[in-house]
Parts: sequence; structure tokens; C-alpha cells
Amino acid sequence: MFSSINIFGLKRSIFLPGLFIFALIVASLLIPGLSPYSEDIRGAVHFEESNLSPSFSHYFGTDAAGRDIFTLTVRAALTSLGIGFGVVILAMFIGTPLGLIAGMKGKWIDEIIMRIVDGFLAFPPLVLPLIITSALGPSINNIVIGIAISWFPWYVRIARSQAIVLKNQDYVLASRSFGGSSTHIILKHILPNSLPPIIVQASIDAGYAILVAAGLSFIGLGAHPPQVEWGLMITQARAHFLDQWWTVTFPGLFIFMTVISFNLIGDGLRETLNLNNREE
Amino acid sequence: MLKIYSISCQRIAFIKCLFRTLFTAMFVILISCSKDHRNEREPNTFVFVTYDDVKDWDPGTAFSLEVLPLSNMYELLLWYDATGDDPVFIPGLATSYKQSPDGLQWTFQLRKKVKFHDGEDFNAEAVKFVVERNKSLGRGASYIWNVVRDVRIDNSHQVTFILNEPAPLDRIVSSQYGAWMYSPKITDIPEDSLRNGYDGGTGPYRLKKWIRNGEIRLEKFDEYWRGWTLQNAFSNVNIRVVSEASTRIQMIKNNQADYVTQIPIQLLSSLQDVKDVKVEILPGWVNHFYLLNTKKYPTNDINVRRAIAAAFDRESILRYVYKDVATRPVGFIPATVPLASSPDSLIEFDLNYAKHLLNKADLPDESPEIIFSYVATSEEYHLTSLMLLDNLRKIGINMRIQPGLWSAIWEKAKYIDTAPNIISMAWWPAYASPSDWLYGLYYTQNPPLFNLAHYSNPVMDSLIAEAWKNEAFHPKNAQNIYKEIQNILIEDCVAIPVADLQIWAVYNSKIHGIRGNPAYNTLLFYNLARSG
Repeated sequence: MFSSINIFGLKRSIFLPGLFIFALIVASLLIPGLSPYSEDIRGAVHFEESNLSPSFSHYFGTDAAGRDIFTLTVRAALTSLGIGFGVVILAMFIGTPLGLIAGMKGKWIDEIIMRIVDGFLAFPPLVLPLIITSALGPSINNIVIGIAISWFPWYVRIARSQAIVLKNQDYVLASRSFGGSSTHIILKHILPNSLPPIIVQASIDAGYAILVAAGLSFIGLGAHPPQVEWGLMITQARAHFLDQWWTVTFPGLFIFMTVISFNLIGDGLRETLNLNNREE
Repeated sequence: MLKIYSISCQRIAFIKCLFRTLFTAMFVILISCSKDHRNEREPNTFVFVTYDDVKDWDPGTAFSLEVLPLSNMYELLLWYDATGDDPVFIPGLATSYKQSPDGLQWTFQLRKKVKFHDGEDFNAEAVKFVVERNKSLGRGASYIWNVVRDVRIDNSHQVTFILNEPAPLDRIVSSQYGAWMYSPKITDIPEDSLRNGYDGGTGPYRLKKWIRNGEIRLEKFDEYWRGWTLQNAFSNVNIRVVSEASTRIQMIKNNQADYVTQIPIQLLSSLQDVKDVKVEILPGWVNHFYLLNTKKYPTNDINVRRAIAAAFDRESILRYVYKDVATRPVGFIPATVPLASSPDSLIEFDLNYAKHLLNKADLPDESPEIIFSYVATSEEYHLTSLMLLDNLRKIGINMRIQPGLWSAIWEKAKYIDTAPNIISMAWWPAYASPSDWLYGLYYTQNPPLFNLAHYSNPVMDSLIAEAWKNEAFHPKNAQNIYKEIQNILIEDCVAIPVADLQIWAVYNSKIHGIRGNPAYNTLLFYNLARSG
């Protein structure tokens, strides 16, 4: 019932979380111009206002350096969402072509690609991003690279299974019989029809990428001041959180809501795209 | 047939129900019988919670956080008691001492019937062995013995130190690093065993177990020469490594720790009213400062270093970050250290002046980047880094912040390629003299140990040696030379002094015997007991 309500052609289960993410992006872009504490985004400190609890002048309170947590939390969305989108785009760009080639070509090419993929999947989820980011050095770009490299195998698997199913479809066989090359078939037939499950996977992964990036920033491998990022905000406030609850609660809440939103969008897309044939 | 089937079904249902009931009952009984062991403590055990672990168990070379366990496992010939207005020397493993009129010979009477933890006797040979071994190792605080030419054994319990030049040897033998007396049997110990925890002292506690980065367990040494007369003294001590300040706070609040270190100063006020927790400010000779790398771009340019110093808002940091626990520094040495003097002035906070200095610097980059490294377990350093980041941004310097564990950032800072431009530093002296700061931090060192500014100035090196020579018989001269040295350090802008610290002791209020002696940055567990 809930998911069957449509708003502007979108299922409500996608619309509300989508609206939240959109609002977050808009707010994070506008906050430097709107907030009276926009200097804090560039690293300004005001020790005389440190650790103030939430009030009408500071909606989310201030941290130990006197910075406005509302301004920082909203602005940090840009970094965190950038990481989320960056990771899934990079993982898709690496994983999808490899999966399609493996599925289409089969035989030894498939074997080689899939064994490499198995090698990557043998690592526990957080270990590979941790190793890669440690080796490349702490930075946001390296976090994106680290997570994308460890997650691309999932896209290889999805794209491969789609390619295996689709390559025997009548329209593909017909295209082949008319002399269509492998590249033409992949680009014109297989890829467009493989995208729905990949997009669903990407929408769910974006949320988890933000979560993993926050974890890596928490242990000092990601963003560093004056950059603002939710994981970094939490790690900077961790000594104070017992007495100043607001310093970690709001960035934590935003991580939670963003991850939930991406999950709901992913579920909604799955239903909309009829991937599980639930409503047939 | 149907009836039989129905009865058997009922039986099965009954048996299932019976099993479920029994299982639930057993579960409830087990839960109710179990006890909450989290707050249970081993009896007669003192739990000390610190932020980092021991790196070196060799008493001849250890020169960092090792002071806590080692000062309870090893002893000195003399102790320096700086708790009163007039510091005095207290007999330790030496019962008395005298010096020749020219100050070149010092004779020590050694305590009899003292045993090392390995069963060996403490005697004159052990003293000679320790001094010679430490000098030959040439690591850690071995430099304290540089002035000793020879140790002569007069008899089994009397030694005479023969010096190259006059020096205050009583202060040297009471040093908190490099002067611990240990068993000559150390030479029989394989290198591996030394790395995995070693104990060959005469102190009240001996090493029972070491779990790397986890816990150090000490147990009382029954044959300790002072005896065990204090009522409720601790038989065991657990030194736990907990890097998170919030966890340490929870441990002291929940009675899982008796003493915790490195609590963020901003949070001390929130602990004042907690039941069974006492916060006490004790005198200290520790100071916080930042070393500026004199060899690495762009801080190899003196104007950049001066610009950084002028962008450092010391007053704000003292007022809002260090609060009542620190005082404004007058120089590179805490003001209360004997013979301390101050330079003519420190570089004061002035962003316009900082900008002017930066313009004077001949830099190829318009916005140079500097790396700032600090000990991540300290909230004070973290907040200072944010202040400096903000101010340097205003004058056009980008600063990259690299927090880390002390052991990791120390190692990186020793080599120019991996060294940061600015590194946080806390210093407490080996012996009670300004020369300890100056020699340890600014004397030419190749490779550097604590001279992480990579500073080298032959004029200053000779002045440090000159001042040290004067300390024993011409203290006023020494004091003047220390002033001159600090003026050179200001001129060359090698470091930024931030705060002269006191010790903020956070401990369980039932513990008594805690007493602050600024000469030793440690806690002597032997003097402690639990009341009630």
C-alpha cells in the first residue's frame, strides 16, 4: 500500500529519501552563503564559544574549538555524498565492462577475470580499503579509490550474470545474425539491459560507501582538517562525547539518515524496475 | 488409528512444551546466578591507566614513557626531592656521599644488604658496571655520564666517581633516566628477552607480565630492602594502555581504574563532582612546545619559522585549552626549575607581523604547505593544531595536520624525508637542570634523538657545555649562559614554547599517598595505599 503511492511518477519509498538527499545537497551547497558561521567551514576557531549546547544561535551546539556544528554537519554532506557517488561511479566503471566482457566472451577470459574477482572478494570488507588507503596515504581521493577497488568485484558479478542471460536472448541472437560485432552487441543491447540491477546495487552501495568512508576518517585515514566530513567530525569530538553529546550525535544522525535513505532508494528502484517481479 | 495419531501428537506437543519450559527455567536460573564481574577488581591491586606503552625495557637506554614502570622497578643512588622550596637529595641506594674540594671526585657509600630481583647483590661492582655499560651503549640518556672519566671501586660498598671536569654529580646520579641501577647479569640476557620485557632492578616492584600495547603487571618484591610496612600497600600493580581518553574517563568513573593520565584538560571540571574521583593539580616540570624543523622546506627559511611563531596565539590556547593547569612560559625551560632563566622576550602573536615575515621569506610557492604532526592522544595538541591551521590560513600558509601515536611520529620525525615541519613535544627532565632541555632538544645530534628540529649551531653547543660546567661551582654564571642560549634559540626560532604544565592527577579518592615531585614524571606505587 505504502509503496504503491506515486508522487510525480516516483514511488513514495523513493521520493521521500530522494528528497532528503536532494535537500542535503542543496543545503550543503548553500550553507556557506547562508550560515553566519561560514568561516568555520574554512577552519576558523572560536575557543571562547567552545562546547556550547544546542540553542537558537547554534542549532546543533558548538564543538571544543567553538565551531558551529550545524554549519559543519550540513557542509560535510557535500564531502560525504561526494565520496558515496565517487565510489559507486568508479566501482561501476571498473566492474561493469569487466563483467560484460567475462559474460560475453566466456571460456578462459571469463575464468581469468572471475578468479581475479574472487581474489578481491577473499578480503574481509573493511580490510582492503584500509590497506589501500594506508598505502596511498590519508586523503578523501584515496578513500574513494580504496573503497572502489575493493567493491568493484560485485559489479563484475552482476554485469557478468546479466550478460550470460542476455546474450542468448532472441534480439541479441538476431543482431548477431545480422553481422553485429561484439562491441556493438555489448554497447547497444547487453549494457542497456544490464543497467537496472547495477543501478540498484549502486544506490545501496552509495550509503555504505559513506559509512565505510566515515569509519576510515574516524581512524585517521580519510579527511583531515580543514576538510569537513562526518567521520572526521566524530573522531575529533570523541574525547568529549560523554559530556557534550551533541558533538557526535548530529554528524552520526546524518550518517544514519543518509545511509537509510540510499537503502530505501535502492529498494524502491528494485521494485520500480521490477527486478524481483513482485508486482507482476 | 486416527486416535493413536492424535494422542502421539499431543504427547509430542507436551514434551516440546516441557523442554521449552525447562530450558527457559534453566536460562533464568543461570542468568540470576551469574555475577557482574565488570566492576570486580583483583584484591590489593592498583590499576593505573595510561595512553601508550613501553618501547624499551633496557634500563640503560629507555628514555620515554618507560619512566612509569621502570621507576618502580629500579632505584637510583640518590633521589632529588623538589617538593619543598629548597630541593634536597634523599638517600637511595647510596647512604651518603661527599665531593672533593675541586669537585672532580665524588665518593658514595652504598647501601648494604640490597638484592636485585634476580638474586644478585647490589654492590660497588654493579655501580661501575651500570655506568660503563650505559656509556658504551651511547643511547637514551647515556649522555648524563659523559663527564665521568672513571668509576673507582674503593671497597665492596664504596665507589668514587672521577670526573673530567667539575659537574653536579649528585644531580646526575638522581636522574630519572639513565641512572637506574640494574643487575650486571643483564649481559646474560638475550636481546629478544630484553625486547619482550626485562627486569633486573632493586625496586619495590618487579615485572610479572607484559602484554604488548595492553597491560604491564607488576608484583611486589618481597625482599625489598625498605620492607613492606605500609598498611594496605599494593601487592600488585596493573598498568593498562588505553588510547581513548573517553574510555579512560569511563574507567575512573566506574571504579575500573585507580589513576588515569592524559584526561583532556577541558573535561577536568566535569570530573570534579564525580563520586570517588579526585582531581588534584600537582607541581610539575613538564612543558609543552612545538619544534620547527630547521632543515625541511619551507621551515628551513628562518622567516617562515618566525612567521609561524608570530601566528601562534599562545594566550588563547593558555586561556581556553590549558586553563588552570598551565602557566605562561617565560622561556624554553619551566620557570620553577633550579637555575632556570628566561630569554629577553618571546615572539608574540601578531598576524600582521607574521604576514610581513612571510613576505620577506624567499619562497618559490605562493601558498607553501607545511606539515604539523602531533600526539593524537592529547586533546590539547589537537585544539592547538586547529588554532594554528586557522591563523596560518589567514597569512597564506596551508597546513596539513598529521596526528599519530607518539612512537610513530617520533620515528618519522627523525628523518628529514619523513619529518614534519612542526612537531608537538612535551618534555620532562632526566635531571634537574636547564641543560637537560637544552642538551636533549637543541644540541647537535646526528642522527637526532629528540632534536627533532634538526637544529645545529656549534656556538650554542659550546655554550651548553660551558653552562653545565659552571653549574656546580658558579651557578650564577650558568644561569646567565642559559639566558644567552635561549636568546639564540629565539633568534633562530627553533621552537615555540606554549605552556609550563602542572600535573593533573585524576585518581580514586580512596587512594592516599599521592605526592607530586616535579623532578620525576612518575608515580611511585610503593607509597600508595587504599583506605577503607
